[in-house]
Amino acid sequence: MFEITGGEDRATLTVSGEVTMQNALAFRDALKEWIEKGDTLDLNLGGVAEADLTCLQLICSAHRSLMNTKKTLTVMGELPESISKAAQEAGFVRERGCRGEESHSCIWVMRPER
Amino acid sequence: MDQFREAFREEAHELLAELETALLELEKDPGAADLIGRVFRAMHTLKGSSGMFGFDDINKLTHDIENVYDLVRGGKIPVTSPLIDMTLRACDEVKKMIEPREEGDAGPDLKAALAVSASFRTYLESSRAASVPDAARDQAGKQTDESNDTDKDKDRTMTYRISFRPAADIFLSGTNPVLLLNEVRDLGLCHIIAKTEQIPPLDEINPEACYTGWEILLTSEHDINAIRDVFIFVEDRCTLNIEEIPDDSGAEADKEDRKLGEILVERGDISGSDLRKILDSHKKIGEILVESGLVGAEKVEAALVEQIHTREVKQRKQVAETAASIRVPAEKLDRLVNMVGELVTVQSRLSQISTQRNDPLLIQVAEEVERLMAELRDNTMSIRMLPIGSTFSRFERLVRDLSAELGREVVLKTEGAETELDKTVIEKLNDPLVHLIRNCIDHGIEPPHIREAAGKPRQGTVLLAAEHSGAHVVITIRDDGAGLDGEAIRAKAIERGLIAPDTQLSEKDLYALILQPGFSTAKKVSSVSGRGVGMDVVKRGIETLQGTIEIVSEKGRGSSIILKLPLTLAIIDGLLVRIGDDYFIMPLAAIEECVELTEADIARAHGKCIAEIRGEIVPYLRLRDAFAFIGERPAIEQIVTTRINGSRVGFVVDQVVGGHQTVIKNLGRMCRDVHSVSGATILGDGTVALILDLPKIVQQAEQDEATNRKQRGY
Repeated sequence: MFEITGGEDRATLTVSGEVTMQNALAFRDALKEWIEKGDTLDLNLGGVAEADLTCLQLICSAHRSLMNTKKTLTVMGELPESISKAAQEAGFVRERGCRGEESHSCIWVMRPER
Repeated sequence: MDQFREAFREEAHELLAELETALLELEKDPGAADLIGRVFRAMHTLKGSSGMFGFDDINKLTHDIENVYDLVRGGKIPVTSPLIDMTLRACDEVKKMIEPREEGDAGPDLKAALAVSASFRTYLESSRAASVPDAARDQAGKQTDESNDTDKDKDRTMTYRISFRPAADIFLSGTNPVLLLNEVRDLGLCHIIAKTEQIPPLDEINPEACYTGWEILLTSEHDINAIRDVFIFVEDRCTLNIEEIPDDSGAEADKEDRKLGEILVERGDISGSDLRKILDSHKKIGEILVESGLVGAEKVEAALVEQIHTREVKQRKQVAETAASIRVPAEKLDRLVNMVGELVTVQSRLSQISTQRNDPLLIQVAEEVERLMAELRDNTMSIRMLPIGSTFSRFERLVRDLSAELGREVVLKTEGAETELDKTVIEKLNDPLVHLIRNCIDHGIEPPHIREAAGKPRQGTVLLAAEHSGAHVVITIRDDGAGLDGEAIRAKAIERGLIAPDTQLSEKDLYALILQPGFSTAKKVSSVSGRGVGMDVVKRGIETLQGTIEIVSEKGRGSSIILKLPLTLAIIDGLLVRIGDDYFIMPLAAIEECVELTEADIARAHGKCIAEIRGEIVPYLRLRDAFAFIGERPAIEQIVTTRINGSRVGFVVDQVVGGHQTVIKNLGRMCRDVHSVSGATILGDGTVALILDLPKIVQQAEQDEATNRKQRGY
């Protein structure tokens, strides 16, 4: 489900299976532990089979937690179909990120900013 | 008023055709919501326009039908075969009711229409009784009336700006707001943007709470209540604001997209004066606004999405407007084609004069006019072109009714419905095609039990296909039935004295015998076919259209009837030839090549009318003899070789002048019995050239030859 590898410099959180309301608490805790662990953070969502609004909100929340730090978050590879579909349906896919300059790191921005 | 009623009739015919097509498809796929929608819309439009133009009887009838289909559309009653039958009967009645009446004509007997109308009311009552519980019946009736009213506004779309923010604890009630968004999407063109600014950092977030709100742009035919209905179960657990965006389809607004700044001012996100200050700098307005802290990034995002949405709505409107067409009376079109025909004649005169004068300037102008004329001709002819599909769709009904009448199971498949043909050709093609399809079903397709015994599927197939082939359209009517019985045709032909008992015929010639008048091998006559008049009518019909018929058949496997028709009957490309002092036109489509015929060639053939062309012996006809020209023939003549009914035949003329755009003129009633010519055209110098009907000339020559042989005792 949630596996954290690496540390200090680079920490990777690998998420797999179902990430919905049922395990939202566990996902929140895993995210918190992960962003504490390293400065360069890699998020591997490739194995997510199902996602809902709570999952999307938690990803946004993690991004927001990092905004005022010097840590960087990178989503590894392409977003899986499950998350793309959930983001599309919930209207998360957008033209620009939610906060000025930091918007470049928003994972929901699908097209270049105008 | 009459012209409006005429316009209504035209529209009604189209709607009825659409209705029939949709009904027949619906019968095959009774659950298809899009088909039910098509039936409902066609019926609704018919009802609306009939009322508007004073066809009150049609209005009442369609109203009763519409009520039933409204319940069908709402999933309250199912589509059944009897319902489709009733609706098709109603279409037939409406057709009768829209026919124009002569003065003093009382019009059609409305008894049948009233009976159909009553049957729909009964159907409605019985369906309601069966499907709606008593307590809910009144409510359902009310809803039906309401939906009828809403349908009046169906063609009008509105754009709504919806702001939806559910309560943080919405998940706890088991509601998934995303499902509500999907319901909104079903209402029309929709752009949804999540407002995520309230999502806190991980330290503060409650993972089971909802922090997201949404801005939705929806362009829909539905009214505001339909949108509220989506959110009805979360009304007390959300903040919902729905406002209509004023229609900006005015002339000025259509010129350019709404600017981002305008949208933000309209939404109340910034003031007009703030906007003007910002516009004095030169950055992108969205960036400037966010940087200056006047507007949050999410608000800019929402406005951008609104801009995209508006643009998309406008584009869709433009596509719809571009696709719109205007209705022009056919006579106006015919007049236009006639005038283009006259212009072609004048242009060819201009070309002729310019060549004679040999003035480079005049030649240049003449060539320019010729080029433009060819373009104008092609464009004008293309206006008269219609897709053959409109004719094809009528046959679905024919096949359905005939199959039921004759106890066959037949499916009609069509291919190439988009193939375009001159409207005159399409109109005249209807009767021959009706006869051919009737024959396919009556004589071709076997009854289901016989098909099963022969190892075939119970359901027979009739294929109606059309495709372009050069300047022709080839229409194939193929069935997978019993095929033609060559022996029976032969026996019948001998019995009727059409051929001698020892005559050897190719398969093609044998099958062609069924096109003879009164020829039928059917042992009994049905209401559909067997009288031997059908195929004769087909042959005459196709020949009137300058077309040919070919029959291919395999016993036990089925038959194909292949019709080859010219694309147009108004202007053709022809080859201008001269015999003596007279000029003739040969349709270019039939011509293969032109070669010289010298005295030496004639001598080599030992008096027979044959010539060796590229290693092949080609029989020829000397038109000078066929038309009884007086005078010496030139020393070197020309053979124009053609392919007629699959065989190479040459026509000998004095001189081949060259290609000629031929505007076909009718010869009039006086010359209707002259079979060797199909029409006439006017040449550049004003002289008349007859257009030769090459297959008829060959046929006549063959008949003359047979008569001669008989007289000589061969």
